[in-house]
Amino acid sequence: MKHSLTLREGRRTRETVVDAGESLLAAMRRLDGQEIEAPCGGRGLCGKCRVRLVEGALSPPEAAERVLLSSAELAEGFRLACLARIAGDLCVERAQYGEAAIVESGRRLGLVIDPPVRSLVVRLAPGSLEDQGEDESRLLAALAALLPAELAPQWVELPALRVLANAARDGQALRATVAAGRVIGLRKAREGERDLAAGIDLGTTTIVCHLVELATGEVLARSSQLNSQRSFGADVISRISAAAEIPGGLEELRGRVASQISTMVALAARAAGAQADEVSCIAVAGNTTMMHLLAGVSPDAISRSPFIPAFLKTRTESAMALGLADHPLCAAILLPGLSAYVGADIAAGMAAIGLAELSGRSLFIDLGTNGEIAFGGRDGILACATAAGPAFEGAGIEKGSGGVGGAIEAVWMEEDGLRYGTIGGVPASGICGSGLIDAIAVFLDCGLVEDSGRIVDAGEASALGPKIAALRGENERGPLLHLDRDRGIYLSQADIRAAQLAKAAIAAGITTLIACADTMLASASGPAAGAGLGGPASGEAAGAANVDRLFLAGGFGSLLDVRSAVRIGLLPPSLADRVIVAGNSSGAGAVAACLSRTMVAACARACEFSTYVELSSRADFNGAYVDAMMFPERQ
Amino acid sequence: MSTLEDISAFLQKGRANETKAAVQKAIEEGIAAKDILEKGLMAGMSIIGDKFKRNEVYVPEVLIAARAMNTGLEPLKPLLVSAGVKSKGTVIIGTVKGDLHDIGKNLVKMMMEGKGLKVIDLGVDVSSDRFVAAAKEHEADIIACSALLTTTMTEMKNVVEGFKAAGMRDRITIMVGGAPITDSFCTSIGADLSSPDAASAADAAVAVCAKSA
Repeated sequence: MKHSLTLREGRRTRETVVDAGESLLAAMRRLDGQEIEAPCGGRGLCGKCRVRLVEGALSPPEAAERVLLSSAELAEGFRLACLARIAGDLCVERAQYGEAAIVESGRRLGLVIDPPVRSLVVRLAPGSLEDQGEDESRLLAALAALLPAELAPQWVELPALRVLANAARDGQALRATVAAGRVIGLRKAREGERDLAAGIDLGTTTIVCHLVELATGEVLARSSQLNSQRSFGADVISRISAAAEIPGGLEELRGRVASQISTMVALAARAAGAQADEVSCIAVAGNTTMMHLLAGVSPDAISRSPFIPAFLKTRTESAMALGLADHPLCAAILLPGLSAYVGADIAAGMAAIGLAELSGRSLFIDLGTNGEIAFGGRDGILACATAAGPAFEGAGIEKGSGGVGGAIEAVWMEEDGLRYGTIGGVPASGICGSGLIDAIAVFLDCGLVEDSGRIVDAGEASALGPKIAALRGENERGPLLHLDRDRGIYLSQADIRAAQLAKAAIAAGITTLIACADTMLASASGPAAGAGLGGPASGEAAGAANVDRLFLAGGFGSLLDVRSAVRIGLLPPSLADRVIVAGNSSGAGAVAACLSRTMVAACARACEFSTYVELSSRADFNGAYVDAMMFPERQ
Repeated sequence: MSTLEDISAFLQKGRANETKAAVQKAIEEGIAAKDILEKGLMAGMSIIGDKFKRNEVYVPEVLIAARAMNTGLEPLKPLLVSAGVKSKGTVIIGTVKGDLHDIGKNLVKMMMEGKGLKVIDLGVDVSSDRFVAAAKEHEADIIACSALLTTTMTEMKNVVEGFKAAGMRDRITIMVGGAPITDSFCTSIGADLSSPDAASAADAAVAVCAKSA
């Protein structure tokens, strides 16, 4: 039976037809516009997809809803969209989300412009009875005359050929894209066109698009959006599940992200005063799962041991064939990855900061949904991924939020009490990763949270003085610590436990990689190789003190307060003064790849030069993980 | 404080050597081995389990308490054997095929041992066949399967099917657990029990064994 669903967001309303018994989340996914958040993938575990039933009929609340929603909230009509099922015509409402404040700056790179994709204007002789050669050879010869020998194309791709058959006859100027020895795309040329490219950082949470002018290397426009796959879950595992379990899931996820990138590139081009079909190259750097989903290749085997991806190498394709553009000119470069869990985003980041060229040993940490860590330098690189979980992205935290307007991003203590700042300076609506870390650091320092992570009891809190004690509260689930009592924003005991797990994963990853370096990087020679070739099996790991620099990449890494990160034990204290904020280094790497063949090769070399360390099977990692769950003692 | 209370208190603080010394003192005082186990060591572990359920203690404290329990058990084991004290039941535990997550499974194992169950740990990446073979070999009462990923939890269904195929399904209780596991998932794959945390899993396992005993 069919019913109507009306969704209200602020002043906006949208409507759709739904089936009786259908899940509300599935129905809401079909409405365009602002995506609904479902970090747990719609399994009734996280409580983030809450909506309020204004009128109409839904199935009775399930047990999981009674756990995640208070009785007062249930009475007001709040429900979890993933568990509630349509039982009649209805109208639901949800809070509007602010604009995402996603960090998209990257390091500026000094590059010689030598693009891997060349866009060239050619005019073909129409042919005659004396010269009956086919258009294909005519086009290849015309392009070869304009290019250095090593770039001359040998092959015309089918989408280009289809355009060629018609266009060649009327003697018009044609614009052709040449990449990887092939003519990827072709269309009629126009007067006064520009040659643009887009570097895409394809994150599980966020997509960032950088539009760049190929002639000058200047970045003309930047934009970022939350990944439109996120109603299928916050992390790569839930996306893989969705692709495998939902009928047509893989194609749905592929189509969503491809059309989102296509739209972002077109909007960026328009913002720069150009047309979308002046973009001749889109270079994409994402984690391995995102790259598989974008290519429409099943990532299923990535999700379980032994974690085998279908592909990792650089691919050059027609952007139109991938759904990344609706015009035939554009080429797409899918940048190379290192393993199932250290993807093209990390390789591009390593290439952007030039990790493989640096002397000494550097740590490179991308603090996204997955915490990827690389360690090394020109002697060799080790890389690993840690399952930090999405706590630092706000998922799995009761009052957690992504990096959006209104998220508490910084917390500190002043004489007269606790203070905080929000993204955009608007009233607080939740807490994001950097705020979470600051808050725990503050609560550790004032004694409300013990080293073990336990929130002290009411008696212990009162010994800390009335101002501090007033921050402690309780609800039906146990003790909590207020950040803003009026707005109902607090950290629960379970939130602190989730943060302990997340920070322990990163900290243990750092410890394990550094410990591995002496044995695994031993074959390389160099001043920092330490114990060196055939040295004693690493009983004594090079400590964090021997690390020359620490690059923090990712949006969250840029907002992070290093002192707070050290205070909670996320980063080793000895590295506090060696931190270099690398910003969105994968975005910077993707832009650089559009501009320079050397950078595409550098991404590939970063992969070949790195050894992947699988942490989950290592006993030393598991030991370090448990050790790192405690907070460092108060100094 | 009595010696048994000392044992419990030292265990809760994770002090392995003091726990062992207090156990030895209790033996010298002539306290029955079964009482030292149940009213000393297991009582302490039970308090840790309850605190873990309420998030008051966390993984590291449970692990060091479990280490103290194992150290405290050393001088007691021969006495338990000669006194004929039997375990309350036998559990085969493992993380399912394709999943390498260890820590959650280890917590469940420790909580179960803390309740006096015999636990055979098959480790991680355990196939359905290995669960079945181990259940036969050890005449297990319970199979406890762990999975942390939504992509590997489907493997639990294969374990259930494996026991059906071996004709052992009605003789064995299958428990499932891990972050993505819900009661409705448990029911949907035909498993018997799921628990929200390690301590509840141990309680449930003891209840199953008490019923079948």
